[in-house]
Amino acid sequence: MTPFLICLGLWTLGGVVGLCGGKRILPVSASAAVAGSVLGLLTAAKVLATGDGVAFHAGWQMPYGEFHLALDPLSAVFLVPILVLCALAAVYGVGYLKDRDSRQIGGAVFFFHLLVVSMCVVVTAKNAILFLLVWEIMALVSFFLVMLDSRRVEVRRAGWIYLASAHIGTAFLLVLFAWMGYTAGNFDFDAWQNLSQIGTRTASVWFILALIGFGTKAGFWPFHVWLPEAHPAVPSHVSAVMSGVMIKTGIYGLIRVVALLGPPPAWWGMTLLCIGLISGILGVLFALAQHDIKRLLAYHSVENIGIIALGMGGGLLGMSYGMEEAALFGWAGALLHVINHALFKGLLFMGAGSVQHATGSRDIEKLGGLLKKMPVTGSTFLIGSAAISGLPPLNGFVSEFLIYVCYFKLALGGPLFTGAAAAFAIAGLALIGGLAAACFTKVFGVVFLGEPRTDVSSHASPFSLTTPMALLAASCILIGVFPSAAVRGLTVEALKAIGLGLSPADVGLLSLTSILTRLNLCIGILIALLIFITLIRAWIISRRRISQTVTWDCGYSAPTSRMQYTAGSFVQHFIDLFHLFLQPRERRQNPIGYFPKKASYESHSADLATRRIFEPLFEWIQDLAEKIQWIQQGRVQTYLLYIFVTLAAVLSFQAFR
Amino acid sequence: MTAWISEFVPALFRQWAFVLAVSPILPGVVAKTKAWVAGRQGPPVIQPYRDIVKLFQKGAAYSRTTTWIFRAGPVISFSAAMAAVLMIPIGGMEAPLTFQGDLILFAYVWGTSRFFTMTAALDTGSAFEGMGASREAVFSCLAEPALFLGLLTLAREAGSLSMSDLLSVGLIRIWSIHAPALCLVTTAFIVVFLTENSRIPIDDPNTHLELTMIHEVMVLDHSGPDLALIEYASAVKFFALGALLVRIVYPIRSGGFWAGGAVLGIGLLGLSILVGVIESTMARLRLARIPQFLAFAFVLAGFGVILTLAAA
Amino acid sequence: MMSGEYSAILVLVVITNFYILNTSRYIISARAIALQGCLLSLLPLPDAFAGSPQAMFLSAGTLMVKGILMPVILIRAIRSTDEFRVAQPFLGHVASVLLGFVILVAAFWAGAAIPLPTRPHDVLMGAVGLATILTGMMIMVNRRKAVGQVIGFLILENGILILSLRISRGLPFVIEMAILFDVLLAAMIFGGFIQSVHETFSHTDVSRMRKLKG
Repeated sequence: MTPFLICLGLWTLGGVVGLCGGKRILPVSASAAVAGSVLGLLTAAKVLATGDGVAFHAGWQMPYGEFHLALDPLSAVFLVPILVLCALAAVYGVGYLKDRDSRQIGGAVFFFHLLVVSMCVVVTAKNAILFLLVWEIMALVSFFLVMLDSRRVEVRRAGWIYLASAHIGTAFLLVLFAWMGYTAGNFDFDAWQNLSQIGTRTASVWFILALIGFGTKAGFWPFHVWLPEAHPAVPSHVSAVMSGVMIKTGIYGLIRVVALLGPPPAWWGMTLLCIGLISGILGVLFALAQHDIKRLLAYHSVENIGIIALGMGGGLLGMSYGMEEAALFGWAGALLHVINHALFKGLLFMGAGSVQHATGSRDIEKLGGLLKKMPVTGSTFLIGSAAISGLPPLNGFVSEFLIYVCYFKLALGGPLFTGAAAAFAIAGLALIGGLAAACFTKVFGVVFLGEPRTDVSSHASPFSLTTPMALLAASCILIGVFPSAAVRGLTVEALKAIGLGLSPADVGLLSLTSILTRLNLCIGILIALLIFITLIRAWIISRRRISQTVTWDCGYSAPTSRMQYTAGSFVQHFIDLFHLFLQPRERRQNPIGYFPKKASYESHSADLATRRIFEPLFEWIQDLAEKIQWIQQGRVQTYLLYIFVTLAAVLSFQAFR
Repeated sequence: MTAWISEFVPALFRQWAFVLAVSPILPGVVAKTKAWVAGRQGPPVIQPYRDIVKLFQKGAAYSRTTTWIFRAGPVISFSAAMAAVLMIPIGGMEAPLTFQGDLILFAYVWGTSRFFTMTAALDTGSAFEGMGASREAVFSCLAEPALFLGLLTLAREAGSLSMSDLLSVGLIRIWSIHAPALCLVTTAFIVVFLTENSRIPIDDPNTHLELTMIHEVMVLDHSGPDLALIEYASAVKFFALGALLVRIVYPIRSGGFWAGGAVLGIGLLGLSILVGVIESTMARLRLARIPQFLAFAFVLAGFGVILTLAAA
Repeated sequence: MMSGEYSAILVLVVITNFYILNTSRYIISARAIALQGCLLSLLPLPDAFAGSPQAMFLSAGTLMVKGILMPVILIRAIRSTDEFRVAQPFLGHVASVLLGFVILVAAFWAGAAIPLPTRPHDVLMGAVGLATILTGMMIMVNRRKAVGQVIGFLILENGILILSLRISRGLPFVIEMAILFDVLLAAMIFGGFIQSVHETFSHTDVSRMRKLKG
């Protein structure tokens, strides 16, 4: 456990140093972060390999609180992506923050490091009070990060939306943990093991509380509204961390609580399935309609959280129907997708940050042809795009594959209703995959391919920006090419912690291993084919005459780069098709006459949940608040009267009880 | 281990040899059928072979706008097609690559191929190719759920998740008890097949207007060996998805690789003639109608799933 | 009759439902309804072969009324209005078809709850009947023109016929025939209604009838 504590210490130290120093001190903080992460990763790796947890107790002057940290396999699965991504993000930050003024740098580094420490403690805390405290620190620190650039109106708006939703979530968690602690008579997670004996009814209420409380952080639809606001507002390496790992702490909490609650009834799984489908499909649909690259990526986080929820739902359904194998595949897929999403989403946000750093624009309609100027950024972004679209031979495919297998097994063995639900999940996953691929061909094609659409200057990214991206891309490929080793190494011990009592000779585990070994073989053959055919093609081409020319322009003699297909036109069919959900607001000025001068078209899809759920809800609350405003009389005597009446009421309640 | 390798490697190469030899004839048969129906003589059925050989011998012209993505597109789509075809059983035995869940990989490998074809199209910076990519993206993502639901129906009937079990002799028994569900799946698969292979009524491979095409316009800028790879890959895709369809409609009972392969080949020729007749007698759908058509296929496949689920 | 063919008929009924949801031309919808009527007339045949003359009559009556007379009336009514003969559902076609699919799933789920499934096809029949009724209702709600409501009503009627065959099997023959003729009457009235609405307002957009309310 000591290396892990040193890791936390190093991160904190890096943050404090960063707060004091200016831009010159940035590399020092980053190296402290990297060193700390390596130590932490070693500990986590040992836990994942052996399955034996390590713990740390310390007294604490807090009622019911104890400074109890423990690193069990489930914590380790979440700790690995946190440490990997955060260390790389810290390195990225060195190059990314360089051009900002010193005061902002200090704040950014300090809060970022604090955020990382709080996330590490959240996934290892074993005491409810401690958990809630660091959970709150995590929310506040990330709020400060969102507000770094608080001179801009939209950033302030994003900050308030984030703060409000974070606290609504925490309120549910407060109730949940208070209730669970009251029932167990203790606030230590280890002492909550016997809570699984509680009746289904109470357990279900707890499940709902956890679902809302943790779901707000994770970004389940419709609690996702803060994501597309907050992610674009922070510096890109922080968005990478927020989107890649911070929202996963919500998933961690949900799994932790569900694992405590004993055998799940079927409707829990169904609920998560529905949430997953809705988040997945609506997330990717709204991503398609965005023009701001970071906002688009934020909506993709909603989509991927949906996929994780689908995996968890499949796992729960498998557990409640006694289909161990399906449950195993579902949970393994969900856990692996947590790691995978951290890798490729971190990579994509960093890529978006590099583009913004080089061109000063996040609007994809203004960009184009960047692959030639920024080869490393472009190539790694392509790998990230293919990975997030779930394409073989990359890591996104492996986790989606496991979730597919889970639902196929449920549909093969389950009763009619479960089978139908599983069929919906399978069709939904296929649709999500197709839509995600469409969305990322759009982003990658419009930003990096073709010709520049406007005269934005751009330059290759510095070394400190490209190295983390290259490492993340490499890990995406590694997990994709060696799925068997990745799944066995990363998830098997954690699966035991969820309550799937696995033994090494377990049938489900054997089938998981054998399927993944064969999948590995297939992917190996695909890779071999790719290399072989590339070589053959290179050999043939080298013996042929090659000429350079212009793109086929259909006989038109004066094409300009403005005539290229735009992102808006690329997704027009999708927007027409899913008009019902997207409800775009369009502003168009049609060309008029034989020699039209000026024409324009703009479309914007505001968030469905914000517009249809939260705005009406908060308006209603405001109306209500205005109605009871008459209590606020402004006279001191009246307020004294209120106090008197309240006191009298409390006393009489005590007297008559 | 060595015994396994000595069995596996020949099977692998036998499969590839068979597919590479047979697949180009299928588009040739489609073209010939269309010519017959129209009262023309048409090109000989072996024309696609000649085209591919010719294209491999030619030089290539690249746009100055393009990058390595443009050159990678054809390689990836050809490799993906060659990998996918290894999961199709030929004859009465298992496919060279088979495991529980290979049907998911089978469906997704085409996704990889499509993704890189679309990015290669966008790499040219041409509005036409952008249009083609956009349409391909829409229609394929609507066809994908239908494909998966169809596979789910078959998987539920066969009680397995591997293509080799799905398309095995067991289908004969399933036809005798669950014919309606299989009919629904077959219909849905025909739609998926036509969509994925860019055939009428979804797409018209022979139109000469860039504005109306989908797949052909995406590969407009490719030339020489790259175009040959693309043509070959689309022939292999026709073979792979066609084999799926043929094996469902006519379950191959037994026999070794070559006997079964001959039966499969005849079935594929029949399918090609059917495609030729469809292309000669139907018009291409309006673009706005295609999602409706695909949604219909999705619903048919979904109904198939429900029927098999309710039968239990 | 073989069991496979019996379920095939029911499957075809569902497919015609989806076809009507998917098509935008009313004439084609009417033809699909004729096809559906013919399919329904096959359903009582197993009983008829088992020696029940009443079932024979029911089959013949269904064929006459649902397969021939009503579609003919409907097509004539559609032809008589020169309006653009294309359906404009409030939801798009794709959404309607997908909603139809959700209805189908729900019908299978609820159909299992109808009591006493005794014969091998009872589950399927109950589900198909329910799905047809609900699809008919959905079409009535979802279409603008009066013709759309008529088509929805006829589909709903067909669903009721399937469900009654499923539940009763012994529902007196007289009642079945009476229902048939009721429906015929309804179709004739609808035909006249469409024509006179068209003559009076020069359109049959039902959603624009809101003007009539006081």
